[in-house]
Parts: sequence; C-alpha cells; structure tokens
Amino acid sequence: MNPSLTSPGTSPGARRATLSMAHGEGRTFLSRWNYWWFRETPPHLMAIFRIIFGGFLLFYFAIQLPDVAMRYSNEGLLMPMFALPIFAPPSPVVAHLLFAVLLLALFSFTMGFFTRISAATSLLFYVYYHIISLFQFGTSFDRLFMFSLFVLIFSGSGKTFSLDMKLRHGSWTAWEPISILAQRILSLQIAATYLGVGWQKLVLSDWQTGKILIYGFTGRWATEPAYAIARMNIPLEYYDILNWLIKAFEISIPFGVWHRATRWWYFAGGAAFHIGIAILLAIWWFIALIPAYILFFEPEEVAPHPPAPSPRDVERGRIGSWKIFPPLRAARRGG
Amino acid sequence: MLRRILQNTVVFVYLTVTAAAMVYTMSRISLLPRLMIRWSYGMMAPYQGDTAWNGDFLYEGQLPDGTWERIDIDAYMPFGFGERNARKFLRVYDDETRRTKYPQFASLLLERERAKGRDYQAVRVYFDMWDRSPAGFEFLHTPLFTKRKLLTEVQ
Repeated sequence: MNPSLTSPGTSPGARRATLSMAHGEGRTFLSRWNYWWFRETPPHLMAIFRIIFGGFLLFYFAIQLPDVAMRYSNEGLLMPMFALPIFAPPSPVVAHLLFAVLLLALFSFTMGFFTRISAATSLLFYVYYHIISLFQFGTSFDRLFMFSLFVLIFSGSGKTFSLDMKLRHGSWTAWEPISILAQRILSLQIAATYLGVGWQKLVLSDWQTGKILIYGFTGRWATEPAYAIARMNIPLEYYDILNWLIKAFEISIPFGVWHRATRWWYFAGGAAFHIGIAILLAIWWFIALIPAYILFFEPEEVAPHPPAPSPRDVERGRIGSWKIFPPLRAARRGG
Repeated sequence: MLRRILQNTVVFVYLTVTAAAMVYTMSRISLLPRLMIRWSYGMMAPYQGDTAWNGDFLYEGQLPDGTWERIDIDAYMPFGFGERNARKFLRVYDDETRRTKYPQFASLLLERERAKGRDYQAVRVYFDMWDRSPAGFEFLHTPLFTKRKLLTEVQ
C-alpha cells in the first residue's frame, strides 16, 4: 500500500509531482526508469481496460455460440495445429460444455471475480481454441488478444471496480495500488503493432502505390460500400495519396499517442481508421484497439480523489473511493 | 530486490523480442531464433500484400454412379465471407506444406460428408482464379474469365 495514494486527500501538489515524474523529471536515469516501468499506481485505468476488453472478448466469443459445433467440434473441418489426442476436436456436446466454461471465465474476468484465475482460464481456453481452429485463420488480432490476456493475468486489474474488491473490502470501488508494468507492456505492444504495420509498408512492394487499396476494395474482404467506392472510378493518384496518408498515420501514431498535445487527435484518427476498415473491409476486430487507447494515459490521470477516510473505512480496510474524471483539470490548475 | 530483478528481466526480454520482431518485419533478418519472435512478428505484420485476382475453391463429391456433384463447404464454415475464403486457402501453411494439407482437408470433408449419410466415393478440389472487378467479388467468376485447376482428388 502506497501511503501517498492512500493518505487523506492526496494533495494536488503531490499529484502534480507524480504527474511531473511521469513525464521524466526524476533525478537519474535509473530512478526515471524504475518510475516509468515499475511504480505503484492506482488500478482504475487497468480496471476500466479490464471491463472493456473483457466485455469485448465476451462479445467476440458469444456471437460464435450458435456455431460452436462447426467451429470447435468434430462436426467441423478442423485440422488442429498439433496432431495430439488432447487437441482432437471433441464431440459437439463436449465442445459446447468447454465453450460454456470459456464464456463463464470471460464473464468472471470482466466482473473482476477471482480476476487472475479468470484471466488465466480464459487464456487457457483461448489458446486451446487457437490450436484446434483459430490458427487456421492466422490473424494478428487473435495473437494480440491472447497476449493481452496473458499480461492481464499479472496486472492487478481486479483491484478496483470488481467483485473481488466488493467481497474483500465491501465496496466495488475500493482499491489497492498496482504496478504500472502491465499497462506499460500493453501500451508498448499496441504502439509496436502500429509501428510494425506502418514501417513495413514503407518497404513492401505492394504498398508503394494506391493499387493495393483498390485491390482491397474489390477483394474477399470488401463490403458493398467498398465496391461502391471502387465503381466511382476515382483516379489512381487519389488512391496513392490515401496510401501515403495511411502510412504516415500508422508510422506516427505510435509516438503521437503518448503526448498530451497530440494524443486525442491520434485517438480520433485511430478510431476513424478502424471503423473505416470495419465498414469497408468487414474487419471489425481491431475496433478493440479504440478503447485500448486509454492505456496511453498515466494512471494518475484516471486516479481517484480519495476523500479523507472515515474511521469506519479505516477500520474496515477501505482504502479509497472514486469520482468521475476530474483529475486532469485539477492537475493543470496546480491546485 | 528479487522482485525488481524479475521485473527488469521481464522488461528486457519483452523489449528484446519485440525489437527483434520489428527488425525481422522490416528486413527479414532474424536476430533471434524465429520461434522466439514468431508470436511478436505475428502481432505486427498483417496485410503485407494483395493480388489482382480473386480465388475460390470448388469441392465436388463423386456419387456411386460416377457423376460428380458440388459440395457446399460453406455449411462447414460459419464465418464471415472474408474469413471463410481465407480459411479455404490454408494460408497459414507455407507452399510446400499446403500441398499436403489440401488432400488432408479434402479427406476430412469426405469423412464428414459420409458421416452425414452422403455416399461419396471420392472428393475432388478445384481452384478457380479470376480477375477482380468493381462490380462484385463473383462478377468475373464465369467460365470465360476463370482459370480452373485441379488441386487434389481423394478417395
């Protein structure tokens, strides 16, 4: 427990100092390194991410429910990654039972109930489904989601807004500090994904003109709006420009999302980008990245203003309570 | 102290693997064994290219009288159109492996169809290829504009 976060009314000066340190005003490289990677922080940001991401995964798998037999049982056309008995596609009954366990684990994770175990169970089943079926699709988003679940096991994202806290401290909004490390890894991974995707387009031969966009608008992923755009017979030069805009955006977003002056522009650009891809190419799974942009905030910007704990709160071990999003303005005022 | 060492190890390993994957993404140079960077690379390198043609597969089952009839494989693939088409290509495998996987896939289909009571003697798989068109995915998928190749036949 970090006293600076739990002492009555963490002072605005202390909060400003915290935010200053978050922007690299520590004394030595090592102290800045430790502060950036490992400091204790309020868990609210990660808890919000847990709820949103958990809810997304719940939706992602729940819509598969009508087709579990074809997707994950021996009624479908599955060629598992490994020809081992444990990965032999099960009967439809067993497949449905296993799928129900996954949905329960994801629901439990989203609610923050036995959060770590729920995350681990969800990941175990996700990996299982990846081995028996999902790998045949071979997507980057499945890998990203599994990686995120893995990191979330160790994140402490259940330390507030959770059933765990309700059961432990008597309040959904009670909280315990966590390490920032999980958030840093997740946010860096998102940045690395954009950077890799963007940088590789600079060297890939197919991405040197706008033709690849036209191909995309007339290929297997294209939706009716995409075909409609293709039928407009827009000159290739405009597709070339769009191609360069996409590359410029993907290369700059990994850096722009970290800076307060630019991040909201990049959040908006990212949202427009992924929603546009969902509409034109029916590739909707990356919409999960939009709420994940919250990971680029400092946790203290989303942190609560803990009121002075009442003697009863102290007695019951309640550490803090949450108010809705005032921190940023308060920090700027310096008061 | 031990905790801090462990945390720094995690950071070091993560940054090393991610950086190596980035280098591989850009240059196809492996600074680490490919198995170590495969996952990280897979998270950062989708949609590297495309083609000017569309393709699809035609699956046919041979009836006892020797005639062939089309098998609706889409019934086995309750996915969106793009995912369905991508899965049929077996893109996750390299070219050499894919040559063995197409017959395996066809055998699996034959097995499933027989389990449903369809008395097929064999299954054959054709690959169709046609130019893309703004008029629609299937617009030029006609005999005149389609190249068809027999991929495999299994019994």
